[in-house]
Amino acid sequence: MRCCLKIRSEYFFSIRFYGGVIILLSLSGLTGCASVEPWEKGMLAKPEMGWTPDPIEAAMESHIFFSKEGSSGGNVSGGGGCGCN
Amino acid sequence: MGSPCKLHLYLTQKQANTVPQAALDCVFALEKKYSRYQSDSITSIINRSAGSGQCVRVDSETAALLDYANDAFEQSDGLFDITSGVLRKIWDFKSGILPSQETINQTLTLIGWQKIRWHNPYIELPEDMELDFGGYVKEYAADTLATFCMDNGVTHGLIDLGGDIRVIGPHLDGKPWKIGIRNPDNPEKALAHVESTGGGVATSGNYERCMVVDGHRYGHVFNPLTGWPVQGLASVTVQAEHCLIAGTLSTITMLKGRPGGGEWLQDMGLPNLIIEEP
Amino acid sequence: MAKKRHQNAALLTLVTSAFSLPGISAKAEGVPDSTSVKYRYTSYVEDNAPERFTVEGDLGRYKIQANQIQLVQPVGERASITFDYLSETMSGASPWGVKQGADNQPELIMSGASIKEERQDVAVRLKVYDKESSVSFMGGHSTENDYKAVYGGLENELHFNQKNTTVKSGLKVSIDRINPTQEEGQSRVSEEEKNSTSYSIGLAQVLNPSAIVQVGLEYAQLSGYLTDPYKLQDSRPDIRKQTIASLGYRQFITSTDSAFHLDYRSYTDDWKVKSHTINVAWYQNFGSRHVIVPSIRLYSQKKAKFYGVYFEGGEATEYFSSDYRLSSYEAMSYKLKYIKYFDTWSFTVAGERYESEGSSGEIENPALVSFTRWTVGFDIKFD
Repeated sequence: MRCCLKIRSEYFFSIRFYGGVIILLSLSGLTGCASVEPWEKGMLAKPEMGWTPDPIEAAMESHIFFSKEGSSGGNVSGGGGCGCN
Repeated sequence: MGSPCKLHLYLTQKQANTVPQAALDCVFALEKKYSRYQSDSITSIINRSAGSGQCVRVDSETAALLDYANDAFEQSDGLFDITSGVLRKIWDFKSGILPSQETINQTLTLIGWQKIRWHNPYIELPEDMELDFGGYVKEYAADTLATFCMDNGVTHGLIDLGGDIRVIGPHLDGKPWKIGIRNPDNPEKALAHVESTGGGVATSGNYERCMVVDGHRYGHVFNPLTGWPVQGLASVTVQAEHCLIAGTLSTITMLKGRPGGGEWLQDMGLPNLIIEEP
Repeated sequence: MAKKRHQNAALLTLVTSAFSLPGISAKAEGVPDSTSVKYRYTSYVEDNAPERFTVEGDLGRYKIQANQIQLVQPVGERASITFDYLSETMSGASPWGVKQGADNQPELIMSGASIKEERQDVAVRLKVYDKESSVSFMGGHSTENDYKAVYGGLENELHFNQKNTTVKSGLKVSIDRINPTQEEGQSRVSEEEKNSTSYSIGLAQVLNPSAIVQVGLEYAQLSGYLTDPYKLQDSRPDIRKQTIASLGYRQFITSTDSAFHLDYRSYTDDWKVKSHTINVAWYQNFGSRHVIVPSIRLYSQKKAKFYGVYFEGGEATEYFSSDYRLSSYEAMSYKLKYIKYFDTWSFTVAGERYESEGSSGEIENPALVSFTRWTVGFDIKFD
């Protein structure tokens, strides 16, 4: 009769970590354009790489240009119109 | 002794500085929160309050876990029951002696999720009843860890919490992870392998502890309705999107035993491997 | 397999239940993870009107002081709500018109210095994120004593190709009501309305791990009273159709730890105004705590078909305007910005100098504006 094997883990919840295997991959020097994998997007995720890194200041700028120049649009919405002179 | 746990993660240099430690903290925090052995865990707080007539207000995560236990209880016709932990006390595998039917009957009065007053977020336990999250928190922890890693940009890896497995994504070259399924006759050897590029794999086995009395084998998985160890299946492995779901289904299948368990599981339409007892 | 799975009620129940667990429902990308508050104070000062061309009114042009507050609050795991509040105080004289002086020299007529106005702008934006998309709804209103605008918008982003490609679309509507303040000796309209609707589409594409490009197209239609009620001689069509094409490029340079920004905009409308705008910025990191951002903006505009630097007496044409904003001119602005990061907050200071001059071969409109702007502020994150 096969039975009673060595107790390997308790039935209830109890965890102990040992020998965690961690494989490291350095991403420096990667090139290519075809398809950028999600783990390669560290640089693109930096705040200074955003289309509008400072939206509140951009709203003010766009509002000023909207009121003082003859053309507008194409960027972040800078609030409502005005009777600016 | 705890179950061996391993994290296999492909990390960038920057992730390597922060993710592993934070991931371990995240699992240890869950263990601390739900362990029966920590006197300040939510499990202990709830269990201590049993019979006091006082209800305990639980946090949203615990509430979601209790709701989940309630759904699993209903869907399994009462087999998945987080109040069944007290059966451990009367089944002493080291002694080699069966508990008397009278003892079992007495213990059964302390089992039954339907006896618990659970009105999210308040829970109240009758006297001497206990909750044990051990049956599914480890699987939930594997999913939590995977979510944490994915939120931190990890896209390739495997989490193994004592055999409850959650794959984050394939190996770096796109190859699937090979996960061995233990042979109940010889747990050091793999009986089969399943491949996974993402999702959970959980196994429920009845072979890890047992005793033989009068030529009859009694395993450590108990039917909460009868108080007796379940018969018929040696191990059930299920593959699902989440480790928690895989674990719950394998546990319920194991509890349903043979016949019935295998048929019930086939209806789910998920990849599985059932090893029957001889 | 997915279909079969949902045929099973038990499994569906468990999966649904599992999704309300915090460790299982993955956070959609881009959702802010904590409350943040941003504040900016801006001082905007226009150069005086040119003394030798100004024949009437006050030389001291506009000064604006503005306070902006933005609150971003995550709502659950998949949404965020943003409140924007702006309050600005404007004072100074503004150009009323241009008339022909001796030797065809334009002569500028300024208003008196008495103008003092306030504008308040409040907006709310709800953004809902999904794994491969986001939708935002926005609404707000702007109030001045002589001008009110109510606006709303809708934006949608769809990610494809492992999020390497993003398609954006937007719709914005504004309904504005104009109630000019009346001045003795001048006949101004009393109440007018104008509306604008704009549609935009855009495509952003990740080129490689350090570069991303974006192209956009926008069409906007303004209708209603588009004439400037404060100008002495001004009559404009009651419709204006604008088309804007834009291009953006971002490149990260690892060796110097900096980011290069290039933005270009091409504008054209049915008043025959055309413009090109180029903005170039360089974000230079110094460690992880300091960023210095020099930038330069070049703007070039061709005049509206009914613009003239001055008009004499009863006009023969239906539409006419001497508004410097509709003239042909070039402008250049330089900006320098500094950001200092602390653990839970950051400090920002920026200065900008803007100068404009008439295009060669044209009589320069003496009202063309030059200004200096200072902005200081902070961003705080609450965990």
